[in-house]
Amino acid sequence: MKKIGDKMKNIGLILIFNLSFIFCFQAKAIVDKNNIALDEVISFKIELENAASFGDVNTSGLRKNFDIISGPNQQTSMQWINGRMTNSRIMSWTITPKRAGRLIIPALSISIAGKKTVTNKIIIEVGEPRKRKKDLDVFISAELNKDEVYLGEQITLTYKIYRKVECSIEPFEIPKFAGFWAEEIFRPSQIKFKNISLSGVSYQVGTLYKVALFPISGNENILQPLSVKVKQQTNKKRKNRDPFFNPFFDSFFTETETKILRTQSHKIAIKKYPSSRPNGFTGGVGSFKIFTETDVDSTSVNEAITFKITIDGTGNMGLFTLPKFKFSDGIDQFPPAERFEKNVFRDELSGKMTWEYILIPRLPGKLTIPPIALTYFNPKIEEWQRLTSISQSVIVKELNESYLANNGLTKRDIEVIGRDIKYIHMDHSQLNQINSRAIPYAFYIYLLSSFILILPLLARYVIGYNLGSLPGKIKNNALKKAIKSIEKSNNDGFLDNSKIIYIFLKERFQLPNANLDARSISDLLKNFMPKSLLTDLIEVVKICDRMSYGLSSDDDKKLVNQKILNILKKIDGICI
Amino acid sequence: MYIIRNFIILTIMSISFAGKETDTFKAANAYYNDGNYGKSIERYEKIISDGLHSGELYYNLGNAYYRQGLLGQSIWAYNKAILFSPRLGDAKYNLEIAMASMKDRILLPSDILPVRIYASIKSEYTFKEWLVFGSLLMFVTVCFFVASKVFILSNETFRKTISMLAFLIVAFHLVLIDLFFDQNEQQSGIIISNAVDAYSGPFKGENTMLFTVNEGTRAEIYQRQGDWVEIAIIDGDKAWIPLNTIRQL
Repeated sequence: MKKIGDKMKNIGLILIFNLSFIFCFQAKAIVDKNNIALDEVISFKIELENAASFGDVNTSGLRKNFDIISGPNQQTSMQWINGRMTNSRIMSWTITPKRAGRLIIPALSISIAGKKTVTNKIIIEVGEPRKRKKDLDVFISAELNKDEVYLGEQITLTYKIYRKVECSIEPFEIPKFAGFWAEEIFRPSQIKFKNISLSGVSYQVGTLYKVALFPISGNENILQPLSVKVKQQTNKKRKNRDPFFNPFFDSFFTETETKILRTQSHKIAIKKYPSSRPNGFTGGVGSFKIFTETDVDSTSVNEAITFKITIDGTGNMGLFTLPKFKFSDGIDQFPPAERFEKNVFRDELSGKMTWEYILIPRLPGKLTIPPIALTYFNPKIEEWQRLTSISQSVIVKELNESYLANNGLTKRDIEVIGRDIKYIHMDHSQLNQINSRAIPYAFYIYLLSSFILILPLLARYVIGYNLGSLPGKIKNNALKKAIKSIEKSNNDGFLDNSKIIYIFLKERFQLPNANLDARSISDLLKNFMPKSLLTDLIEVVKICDRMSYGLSSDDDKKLVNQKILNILKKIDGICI
Repeated sequence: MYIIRNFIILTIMSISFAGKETDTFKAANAYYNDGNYGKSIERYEKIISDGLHSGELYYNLGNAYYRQGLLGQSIWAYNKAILFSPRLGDAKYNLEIAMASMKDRILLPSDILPVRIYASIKSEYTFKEWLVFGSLLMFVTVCFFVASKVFILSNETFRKTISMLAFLIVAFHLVLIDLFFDQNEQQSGIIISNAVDAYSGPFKGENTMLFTVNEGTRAEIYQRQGDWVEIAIIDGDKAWIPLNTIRQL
């Protein structure tokens, strides 16, 4: 038991010890140097004491003043001193400053297993590059064709690299041109170098990237610098090797040095237009021509035609729209298909913008498409210019009847095209609640109907009043009952048919006397039916009386029964 | 007592609501007359969002949308007006004019004459109206039937009348069932945006664009997923479009 207790205690201690790593870690930020030049790099490390893992580091604060060239690299070490284990984890980055001055690496937050801590902040003094440009072995530049332009006017920006020694260029990211619309002109798949002399020094120069920029807003826009990482072969000088730069390719006499090259930022001044913007100006700046055309000269009603507008020229193509224009009534138009064919000629963005409208004339006659006017600013002559296309006409023939069947339009559609809608109703109607849960009136009517339907049953079972025994009911059922009795007589043998007749007459006319005979019938019914019918009835009653006392064939009996049936039906139909 | 009390409360509530909304309706009409169709639409839509509606309201809203150039919305409003008041001739006329300007046209072969007659009769009255007709017919028939059982009204003509009424009850209620399924089985809507791209799935991503529909087209709504709905247009093509491009009827 004691052994088990000891084991449990040890396990508990180990668990507490491990948990202490999670809850009690410390973070410390360190750099290899605090005073550097703008083109130099720093090794930045975060050392974690007693941390269970590396965790997540929020480096957004670091990126404000520094570019991260590589990292984070991770390293773990454990030490046992006096039986106590210490755990150390190091994360390291290679960073380079974005500008000269007093820069701060802010306190970075680190989160491990839901717990957070922050590092200390570090101040870095960044001086200007120590070497003058002509002393540099390799540098990059951002070259602009102009630094003062009108809104929408093209600026050509070219990034170039100059080198005296062999170097390799790492993939780089083009800065975001805030305030500009950028159209790429040239991006080499492999940089081609040519020899030039710069202030008497021989260099090889290559183009990294060329872009056409069109300012779209503001009075002054700033072009952010481009950073490029290069690896340069230098003569071996020192023995100790920096572990953050790969020595793998180093030869015996040379070593690879990583450098961060950066262009300067440029200010672009935006000039105001010489006079106020004219009506119809939609943002076009450059030099343009406008053409319009239709694919046919004549068509039929409801047959589509294509109307094409082309703007050809040099300038901020793709950055402006067509001025508003309206097709005549009686034409259905579909949204245009837009196309831009780019063409770079002597570093100037030129090309062709086209808009293709599908138009469907709905009415016959001469369809005239008005001229399209384009107002634009020409920065070369610093003037507003206006272009107008020629108007286009298409003859629209009457509707082809055979075409109608295959077209979406019905005859009724054709009739109503061009008509106007009817006016609104001013009288406010009864507004009803949407999704009203009110019980419809119909429900109450159904309820009432159901109640009426079961009323006879209720009367019979609740108050014991049998509606079937009512005199009216008996009178109505008299014929039905008589027919049934006669059918039974036919099947079962000849019964007392005179009795059937008497019962019918008693029920049908509600006669008081039960002992009826031919004479009494004649007296009682003389006012209820025509005389001929009464005579026929008396005759049939007499035959039945005779037959009930004598013998007769089955055929005779059936004949008499049929006669009885006819007379009774006649009486039931005629008499009230 | 309970039913009567509820009926009175509902009536009072409806009257007080309608009083306030009538002013909004009049204001919307005034904006329409001034040519301020945007404001007019706002007011009409406000009444709908407040939970009230009528055939005239949808009709006027349709006109305002039409004047504003919103063809799909106007077709939706005219359809609503006709659903609410099937005999509103002006709404039918204006709908024809609006639909003549539609870009998408799908013509189906017309139905045979009896089907057309049946559809025309069926669409002439609302579900509630058919229900009232059916219930009244039921009431009359029951009265006749009970009278035939109780009283002396049992001659042949009377019996034939009852049979005819019974046949009519069955016919009316079959129409009612048909209308009920029409209303509840499938939801439909009107496309309110132009050139809506319809995709094979409920997001653009790698889904294929199947076809494009334009405003005013009627579509059956099958299911909704997030901000997308699956629709089928009248020729049977099914696809997904953004929810905000269709307005449910």
